Amino acid sequence: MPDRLKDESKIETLTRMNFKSNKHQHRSFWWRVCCGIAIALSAITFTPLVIGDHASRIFHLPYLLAVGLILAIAFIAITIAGTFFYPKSLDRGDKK
Amino acid sequence: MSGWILGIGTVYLCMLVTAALRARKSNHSDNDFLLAGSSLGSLVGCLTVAATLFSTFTLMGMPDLFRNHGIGAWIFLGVSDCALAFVALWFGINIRRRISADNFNGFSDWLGRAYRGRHATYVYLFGIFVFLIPYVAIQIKGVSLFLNSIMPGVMPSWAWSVSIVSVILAYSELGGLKAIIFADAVQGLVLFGATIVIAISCVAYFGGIGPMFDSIESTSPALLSTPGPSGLFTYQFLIASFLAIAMIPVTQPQMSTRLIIMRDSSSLARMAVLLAIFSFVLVLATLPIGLYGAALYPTSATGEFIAQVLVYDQSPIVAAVVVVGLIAAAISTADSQLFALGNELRSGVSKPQYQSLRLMRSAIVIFALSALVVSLVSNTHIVLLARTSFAGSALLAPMILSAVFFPKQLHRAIPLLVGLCLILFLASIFGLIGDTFWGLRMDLVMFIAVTFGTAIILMFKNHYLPDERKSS
Repeated sequence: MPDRLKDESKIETLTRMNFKSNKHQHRSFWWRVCCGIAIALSAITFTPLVIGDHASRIFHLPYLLAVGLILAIAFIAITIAGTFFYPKSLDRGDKK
Repeated sequence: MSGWILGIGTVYLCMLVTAALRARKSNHSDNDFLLAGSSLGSLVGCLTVAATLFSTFTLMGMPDLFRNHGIGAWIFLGVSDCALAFVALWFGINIRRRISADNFNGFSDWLGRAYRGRHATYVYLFGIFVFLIPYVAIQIKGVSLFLNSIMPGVMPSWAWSVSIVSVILAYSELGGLKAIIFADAVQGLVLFGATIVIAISCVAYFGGIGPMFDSIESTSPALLSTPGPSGLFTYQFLIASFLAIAMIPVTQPQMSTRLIIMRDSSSLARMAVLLAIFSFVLVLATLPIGLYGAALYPTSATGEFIAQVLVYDQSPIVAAVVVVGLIAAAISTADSQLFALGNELRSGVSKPQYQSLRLMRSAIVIFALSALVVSLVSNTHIVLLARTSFAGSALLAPMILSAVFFPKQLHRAIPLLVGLCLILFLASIFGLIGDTFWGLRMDLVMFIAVTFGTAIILMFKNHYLPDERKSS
């Protein structure tokens, strides 16, 4: 193979590897963001913003229940987001 | 109603027998019997995890919590269970990096190898046995008492307990984990369907969701905020419960094993999403049942309220489905835990020649009989152990998570610290030491102590490492 073609092939391989690596890092970053949001949601759950003697209503629901429902839905949303971003390299347990 | 119960119960039993026989036929190896071939899909995975997670407590305990302590129970279980689903995804993805389903023997064996010593195995086995056996016993006892109260002439409650344990033993021994997973899937669907039907009828009684809360506000406004009428849902209670529930996928072997035997990571991820949605809908459905009880049966005893709302106020066919669903719930939670305990004991045995299926089968029989005896003679302390089982087993979480995330920094001091905290927690349950420390609940104190203690050991591990590991 001529040297020029060899170089192009190398560049292409390196570009592909770089792309894969970027994609992996991208996933890893967003997975960490999901984990961070889950921790933040857990912390928010136990603040006076949620727990306490609130008398107001939101959409006919008591404040505590309405905010609790929003938190639970947020946990579901973050789980759904997690399914798109979990690090795929960590699948040694997968059946081959 | 008895005719319906007999009919639906017979169908359920036939399904169990068929499942056990089919599973027995398709089990060709130890891996098939112990780990159901390690190829769980997302839907069946969700149903079996949900059935293992949602015991009779969901249909008997949750409505009672809403009735007596108000909507703070949603934070206690609804939000916690949705968080649990995310933890299942997070932990499942990471544990699958460490353990391949093909080489998986059990957590007690894996922890022993990770910590390079038997002490981690012993601490783990001690932690799960001391809390899970009472939990299984209380499941069996609760349903037996309930069945005896709604069908007093059929047989005494101890005979119901013996029957339930016999059914569990028969199909667990016959079909292994495949049969258990099939039973779990059926139970999950029955429990889900029955709860939704009853919840809809309870909302219909009030005339809608808005009128339901208006009615409760006019009679018991304290039910609509925390900490509830009797002050149960304090910050400490809710935080301790949240941590205990969210750590279930990490610490309870029947849950963590299911995460490992999922077909692949994609199935695991879909399972986590389905579990979150399942938990959300199921726990939310118990809210109107509880508020219905608060409006109609505010002063009734728990058993009386449950019998009224689940059986006597329902049409005969719904009542029969509920009764069979409750039996199924008790069976599916108990069998999963007994099977997991048997497997963990087998994997914890140090000599490979003794790690046989026969040992595991014998262990399941012994644990089932122990749970039966405990259910028959249970006293206040046993009930307390069962009630605190999630909090107790949550103390194992730092030891397991360290093995997953810091495999090169482990030290034997971590299991020893966990063991010490378990003993202190047990001492507080049995009244040997106080149940609060510096104004904090003991379960919270122990969780903080074991978490920070483990973190400190991991940070300064080089000071503790034996010489041979320092050099390596």
